Amino acid sequence: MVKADHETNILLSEQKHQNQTNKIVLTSDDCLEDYCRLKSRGVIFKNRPAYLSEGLSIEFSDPYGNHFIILEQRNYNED
Amino acid sequence: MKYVKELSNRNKIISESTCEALYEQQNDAYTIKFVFNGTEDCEINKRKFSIYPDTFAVVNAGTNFSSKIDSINPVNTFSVSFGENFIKDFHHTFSNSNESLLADKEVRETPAFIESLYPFSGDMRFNVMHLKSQLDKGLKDEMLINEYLYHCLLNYYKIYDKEVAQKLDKLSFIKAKTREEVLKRLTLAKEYISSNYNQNITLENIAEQACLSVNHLLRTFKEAYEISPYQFLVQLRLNRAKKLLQTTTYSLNEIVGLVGFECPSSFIRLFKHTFNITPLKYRKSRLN
Repeated sequence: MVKADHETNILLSEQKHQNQTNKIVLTSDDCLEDYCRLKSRGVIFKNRPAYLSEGLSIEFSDPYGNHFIILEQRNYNED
Repeated sequence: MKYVKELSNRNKIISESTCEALYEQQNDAYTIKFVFNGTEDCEINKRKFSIYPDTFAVVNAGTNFSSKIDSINPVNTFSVSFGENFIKDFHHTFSNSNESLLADKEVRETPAFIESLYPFSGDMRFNVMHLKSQLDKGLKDEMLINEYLYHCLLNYYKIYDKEVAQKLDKLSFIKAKTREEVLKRLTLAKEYISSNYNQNITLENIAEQACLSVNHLLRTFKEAYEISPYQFLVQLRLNRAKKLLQTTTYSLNEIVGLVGFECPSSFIRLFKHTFNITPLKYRKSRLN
């Protein structure tokens, strides 16, 4: 797995292995805002934003079969 | 500073920052009330309680509600009211399985919540903070505001399930009606502790407010919340002291007095035991 660093924002690569993921995680400061903005511009979402243990997220796919996840990370232990 | 945002579906948000205010009215819609700094003193049905930044209050439609703010520093209050159809639709979708939704039942019930204080934390806090900062910046997009409000209700239902439904299951009474009545009284006990946490309150005071005997209170409180009323009070004092250490420049001795501890040494001991750090080290760590 290659992790995004300061210079790499999105890594594109050919699918070489079977278990290689085509999911792209985009981090967000405010998932609901991004969800509404993309929705009003015509992006079709399968579900509504959902809560995960790491925060709020929403998924969508582009016409080429790439799977995107918008994730707003939330630290639930912060005081 | 004050703004009122009323949407076309009758959802309404009021934000106000003030040192002095007095409101008395019949609450015409389901309302969730938050306070971001300071305290708001409220009264419903002759019952007094205070909203602190770590709690929020829920008031049903039709309740007589009054509130008072009297503070040296401005208190920022934020209240969210839901239009009747919005909340009925939400309640309907939430409480019915997909199957019965398809059966197209026409009955749309209006929910009735336990009007009290609930912990303001987790996703509810994140979503409400986002909504507030967007509105402060002048957000007008109704679709987005309604999305925040939808999630606010979703979060509240989850909190309600945790604070009410799951606690009911823990009480050992056989009759459902008894469990409900006892939990209502325990809610009064918690509300009283939360609102008077910095006073010298006794078990007898709490029991009297909750209309339970002291023994009954001790036993059922522990059954529902797994800690004693006294432990709940100490936790509350420590958490609020922690917040004051973080957000104010009050001296340690002042904070000890403000949250109702009698002597600094026992406060420091309890703080260290609970959070594994001394109060002053904690304050220092938050400054960096």
